[in-house]
Formats: sequence, structure tokens, C-alpha cells
Amino acid sequence: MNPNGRTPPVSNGEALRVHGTPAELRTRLIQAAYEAAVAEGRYEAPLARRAASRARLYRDGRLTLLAPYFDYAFYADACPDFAASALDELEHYNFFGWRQSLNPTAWFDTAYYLAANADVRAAGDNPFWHYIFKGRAEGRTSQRPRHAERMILERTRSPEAPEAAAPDPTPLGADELAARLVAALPGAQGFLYAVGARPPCAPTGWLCLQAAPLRAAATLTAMPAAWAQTRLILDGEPLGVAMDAEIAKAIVALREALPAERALVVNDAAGCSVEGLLSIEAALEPGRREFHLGDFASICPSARLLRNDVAFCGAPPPGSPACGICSYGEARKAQLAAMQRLFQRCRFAVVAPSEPALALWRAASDLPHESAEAMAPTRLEPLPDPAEDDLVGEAQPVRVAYLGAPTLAEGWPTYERLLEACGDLAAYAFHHFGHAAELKPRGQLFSVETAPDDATSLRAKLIERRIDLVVMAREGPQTHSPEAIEALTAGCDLVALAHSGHAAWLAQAERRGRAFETDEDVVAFFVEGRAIAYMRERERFPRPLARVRRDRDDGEAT
Amino acid sequence: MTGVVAFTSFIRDDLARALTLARGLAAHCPAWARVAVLVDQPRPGEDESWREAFDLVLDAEALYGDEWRGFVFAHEASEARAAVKGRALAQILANGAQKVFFFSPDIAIFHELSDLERRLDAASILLTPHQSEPNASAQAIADNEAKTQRYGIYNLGFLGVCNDVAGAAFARWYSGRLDEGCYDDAPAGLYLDQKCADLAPALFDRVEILRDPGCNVACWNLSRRRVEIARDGAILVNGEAPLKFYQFAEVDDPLWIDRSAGRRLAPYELEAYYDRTCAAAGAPAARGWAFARFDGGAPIARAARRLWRRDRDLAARFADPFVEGPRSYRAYLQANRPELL
Repeated sequence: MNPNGRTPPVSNGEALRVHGTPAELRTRLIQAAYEAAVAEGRYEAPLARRAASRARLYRDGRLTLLAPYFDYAFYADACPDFAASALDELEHYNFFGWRQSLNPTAWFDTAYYLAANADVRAAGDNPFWHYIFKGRAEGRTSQRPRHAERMILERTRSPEAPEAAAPDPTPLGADELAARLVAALPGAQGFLYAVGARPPCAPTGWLCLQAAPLRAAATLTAMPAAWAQTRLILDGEPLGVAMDAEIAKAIVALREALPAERALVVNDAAGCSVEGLLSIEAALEPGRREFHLGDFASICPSARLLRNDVAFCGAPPPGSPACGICSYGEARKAQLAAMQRLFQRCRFAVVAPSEPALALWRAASDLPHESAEAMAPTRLEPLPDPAEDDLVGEAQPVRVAYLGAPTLAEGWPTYERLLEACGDLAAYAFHHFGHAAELKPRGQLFSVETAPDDATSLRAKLIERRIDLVVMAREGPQTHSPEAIEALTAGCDLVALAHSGHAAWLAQAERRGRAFETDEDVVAFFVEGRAIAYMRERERFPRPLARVRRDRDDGEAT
Repeated sequence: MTGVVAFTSFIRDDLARALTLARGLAAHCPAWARVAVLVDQPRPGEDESWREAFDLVLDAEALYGDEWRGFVFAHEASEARAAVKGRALAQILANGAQKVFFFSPDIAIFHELSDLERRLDAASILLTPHQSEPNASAQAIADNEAKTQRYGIYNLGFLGVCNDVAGAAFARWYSGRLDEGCYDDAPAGLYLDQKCADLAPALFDRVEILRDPGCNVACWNLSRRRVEIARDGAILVNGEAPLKFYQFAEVDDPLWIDRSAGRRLAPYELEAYYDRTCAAAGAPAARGWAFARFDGGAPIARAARRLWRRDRDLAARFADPFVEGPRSYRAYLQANRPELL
């Protein structure tokens, strides 16, 4: 059902919508028209700089040809020394930089190219020039294959025991803890013991004691309850640290005083002691026990199901050959045994934040449970179309964005490959939205800073920049993707990997984007111009700004 | 030692790799006896608990008796590791093993290997070719086929031999060839124990050339063996064959695997797994080969070894070339060929 009540056109089985008005869209995406607009200086800094670099003339004609591919911002950031010379960035690279193994762009590795190509090395030629005008067509590669993944693989270690946090705070005893709880109990209608984050749906009027292990770890631990140290927060206020055995004692001592309605909610048990959790559960005697699938740690200590931290594994059987070569393989066996004990005893109601998260968990887990359900699915309610703006009638590129930290797990290497393959094409404008520390200097990117503490900032900036497609080529599945929802409500469509979890599911359920099997397919979607064709197809439909609606069980929207 | 025997040969600096191999064999082929051939000497005070990973540790010196000092001086470490395989194979067969497999210490096992055992019911000798299908690009041909022609059609990191007439004949021939010349000397038509094995299918009956793409995967055949990890947890080669064993060979061209594997991630994951496993194997730190130095501690240059093994008069004059003193081989070199020291 189309949220705005209209039936969208179907092309290749998918409904298509697009930014902007038909008048605008008729002429956008036409490269010649766009380049004419760039030449007239009507576009903002990064593109203008790109255009200027195209027009930059060098005495050496080869540099003039190379300029559109060279990343001036990246080079200046990587080589601050060049500023002291009388040369510009490209000249510096041409005369000195490549001999010092400096890189002209983020996606070209000078040292690797020379090592891999003896003929270029022997010729003493500028390797970047060789790659752009010869090597690329000959099938040579700009950096070692799977460089980002191999950087991680070379550092990957098996999950280790929790590290000691120094110094240990003085733990609260059972009596003191009970006294602090008693003081907070008056008026409480229920008592919630939340392991990990406070659940967003915690009932109002309940007293919430949040617990997290003092020492972080990727797995549940076999530590006895008398040794397991847990950091406690009572209704948002830090309470201190207590041993799990003391927490259990305090709860037993208070059981008569505690509200009759009591719940245990486990959001994130990594680093917790199984013995400790079980002793607290026994003391609490909760009426409801919930296990929230914030991630997939109940299936594997690699909570994003990334084999060796680099590839989605699909959660195969723990004795499989894949687990045998995975850095999490051994730890997984212990983790599953510990989870089995926890689930066997607690018989949780499992709560997944999305349908795909629940489906994956059901397929990969045999943990005993009372029930398993997904939270009400996110629905988008259309908002009125934006007013016509001054871009009507102009040719514009497809605006593509990456959101957040530039990490492998979030799909940055795929985005960087897009920059390599299409960064010099006027048909696309690539953006990176993130907090200041997450943004990388790239001449081929519009960097858009978002405010870390303002949830509406990302959406507002996506609307402001009129982003068409958000690339979410995350390697591991995400149980819930707030960024994907923000992007959809801002009128963007999603380009995801099929195993990215919630984002891929949203793209298909809302018919707002594409989900591909491999990162190669994502890159091909842009390289082959299918992303442009996709946006052209959507021109018949207006930009679908929307707001989020979650239907509760009682039928009300939140 | 009867039944099926898997053996390997190594120097002490290879212990991490040999232990990784032994543990893989124990996990996937628990019924097979594991034999180590140690081409090295004891190190005082060093932890010997690694021996527990093997059912039997043969001292290579015991295979050669009085000839040992001269024999081992004639070889670099890589040559000696390969050279002892012939006599070790003959001895293991003589001791009554029905089927014998050799695995290079840099091989890791990923799957049960009962299929190999069954194949030795119909064949007497099992060989794995470096290449099992034609390469497509000029680069891949240069990398793989041309090198294979130079260094040997079959990879002798793996060998299977049945204790029957043909198998025993092969073992006698192989051992003899390795006694005569197991050297890294391509201009002379030699490459360790490998180049001579090109002759085996012509010389012996019941030789099977094992083309299972899951057997003996390595950088020299990754161009035609697509290793992938499926969502059900299987590690497959070319879409259907389970990965059985992989040779993590140290090659002098670090970019070879890049060219062969390209963007396929699984080979890099396997390499990382292997490095991690070896690092955690609990092997003593590398301290160099015992036979890399004269008895006085001075290093032995490759050229000095080659001169000694080439010049029969010198070999006869200095029967134990390791010793030092006024009438020693080293003294001879100091006086006559100081450039070789």
C-alpha cells in the first residue's frame, strides 16, 4: 500500500519516486546541461573546485589532463609539507609526492601500484598518470585488492577476556544498595531491572535499575556471581558498582517492599556473568522477562555477524568450517552454551526491533523462549510536497550520500569504490554526512556536518541537500536502522546490500530503493548508469517527504 | 606403525606451522598416525611439549647414520626438509604402514580426508598438480603455468603412496633421486624433490593425478580455484568442492596472491586465519636452523655448501665439513676461497 494513497508506477516490479518536480526532473541528470551549469559557476564549492580543476592549465599538458582525477583536498591533508613549496598539490605529487609514496587520492596507492607494476617502476613515470590513462584500461588495480578488509584481517584477534578497569571502585554492599533502592521505591508502580540500555518502551511510573558490567567484553562470562562487578544506574542517576551476588541479596531483602509488577529486560548482556544474571533473576522473580535483539550477540559474539570482522557470515552452524576459520569461532561455542543456560532458565519473550531481525534470529537460533515478536513496523506517513524552488528547470546530478562513520562495517569501502569509479562524472554528486570527526577531506565529496546531539539534524540536512540516494552497503545486518528511516522521511531512496538488515528491508517494503547481493553489484548500479536511469524513472512522482508512524497494539500511532 | 600414516618434515623454526598441520590432522583424520621428521638438533632448555602433537618423531639423522653430517651440509634448510622425505617414506612403508601421506608443514587441513584414503585403494601413488585447468590471461599463465613448468608439474607438498608393488617401487626410486640431488637448482633441471616427480606418471603404474579442486589449494592455482565461504558455513572451491587442504606457501612474490585471488575475500581470510593460528600454536621462538652454521658458530654461505657438494675431492678431503680447526673445510675456505665465508 502506498502511504500517500496513490498507486505508484511499477517498473521492473518496483515502485519509483523521485525528488523534485517533473519540470525540474525533465532536464536534470543530463550531463551536458549540468556541465554547462558548472561552467557558469552556479554550483557550490566542491563541484566548483572540481570544475576549476578541470580548467586548470599546467605547463605540462599531462597534468592538465590528470587534474580532474586528482584529489587536491585529500593530498593537502595527507601532505601538509607541500604548502611550503611553490608548487600546487598536483605539481608536488608529480615532482616529489609519488617518489615519497604519497597518494593522490584515497583510492590510489602509489607504493602498491609501483610494486605491482614493474614496467611502470622501470619507466620512472608518474604512476597515477599511468593508471588513469593506461593502467585502468589494461585492468591494473589502483590498490591491493580488498585493502580495507585486509587491513582489518591483519589486526583481527579472537575476543579476549575482559580487561581490568583500574582502579576498581569500592563496591556497594547488599545493605547499602537495599537502602538506596528503598529510598527510591515510594510511588513506583513497578520495578524494572534492565541489563544494558534502558528499553525505550519502559513503562512510565516504574523504577528502573539499569545494569552494565564494569568490564567490557564481547561475550558472556563464566565469572561467579560473587566476583561479577556491575555498574548500576537508578532512574538515570549513577548509583555505583556492586557484585551481582550483592545485588541479588539486596533484591531478596527487599522483595516484600518491591512492587508486585517486576520485569527483567536484557538489552545487551555482553560482558555480564551468566551466574550473576541468573542469581538476580532468581531473586527478582519477575513477572515478565524480555530479551531485546539490539544486535545478534545471542547468536555469536560477533554481534553484527561479521566473520573475521569483514564479511557477513549468515550465522552458520557453530561447528561449520566457516566458524573454524573465524576469529569468533571458538568464543561462539562458549557464548552459545552460556546463552542456552540463560534462555533455558529465563524463557524470555524475545523482542526484535524489526521484522528482518526477527526472521534472521529465528533462522539462526535454537534458544528456548516463551515468545518472539517484532515491534510494530515503521510506517511512513507522507507530508505535503515541498514548495517549488529555484532549481526547477536546471540540470543536476544524482545526489548520493553516505551517512556516518567511514568504517568497513558501515560500508565505506564500497562508497570509496564508487568515488573511484564515478567521482569524476558530473552525473553524480557524492556526499558524506557525519559528525565533524567522521568527515574525511575528499575533493570528490561534499562533506556535510551533522550535529551529534540533534536527532533532527541529519534529516534536515538531507532535505536541504536534496539527496536522492543514500548508500547503505553495510556488511553486517542491522536490527534497526534509524538512519535509514531518517533518510526515507527526508525523501531519499536507499541503496543497500541485501544482507544489511533493516535498511534493505525498508528499501523493499517501502519500495524506495534497491537491495543488491554484493558490493560489486552496488558499484555496477552506478558505473553502468542504472542509478541515473532509476532516478529518471522516478521523475513522474514527487518527492515523498514523510514522518514516522509506529502502530501500537492498541491501534494508536506513536 | 600400520594403517594410515601422515608425515611431515620440518626444522624447528617451522614448528608453529607443523603444529597447526598436526592439530588439523588430529581434528579431521583422528584415525591416522601422525609422524614428524625433524631435520634439526635439540636446543638445550627448549620446551619439547610440541612432540605430543605427533605419534612419532623421527630424527632425520637416524635415517642417514654416518652419512648425515656430509648430507646435511650439502643442503640448505629448504633442500634438507625435502631431501629427507624419500628415506622417511621408505622407512614408514618398511614399518608396515598401509597408506602413507606426506603433507608439507605449511599445509592446513580443513576437512576430513577419507576420500584420499579411498583413492589409494585404486591407485598406488597420488599426486596433486599445481595447475588443474588452463589459465586465461597472459599474467596468470606467466604466474602459474610458466612457473609450474619450471618447478615441476606436481606439488610435492602433498604425496600419497600405497604400500603395494607400485608404491614401493616409487618409494625406492624417489628416495634414490633425493639422495642424489634434492637441490634448488633450476638451471640443472632440479627443484627440490619436485621436478623429478614429473617423471612419476610415466615411470610407474597406478599413478592418480588428483584434480579435486579442494585439494592443495595455494597461490599458484587460486586463479582457477575460486574459494568462497557459503552462508551455510561451508568453504567451497569452484562452487561445489569442499576445501580439503590449503598450502600457505611462503613465496618470494608477495603480490602473487593479489593477482590470483583478486577481490575474492575468502583467500585473504584463510591467510589471516593461518597467521593467527600459527601465532597461537605455542611454538618456541624461531632461533635459526642448527645446521646453518659451522660448529664454531660462523654462518655457512650457500656458495660454500655448493662448492663442497660439487667438488668430490673437497668432499672426500673434508668428510665432516662442519668441524673447525686447522685442517677443516672452513680453514680451507679461509685460505683459498675467502669470498665464500
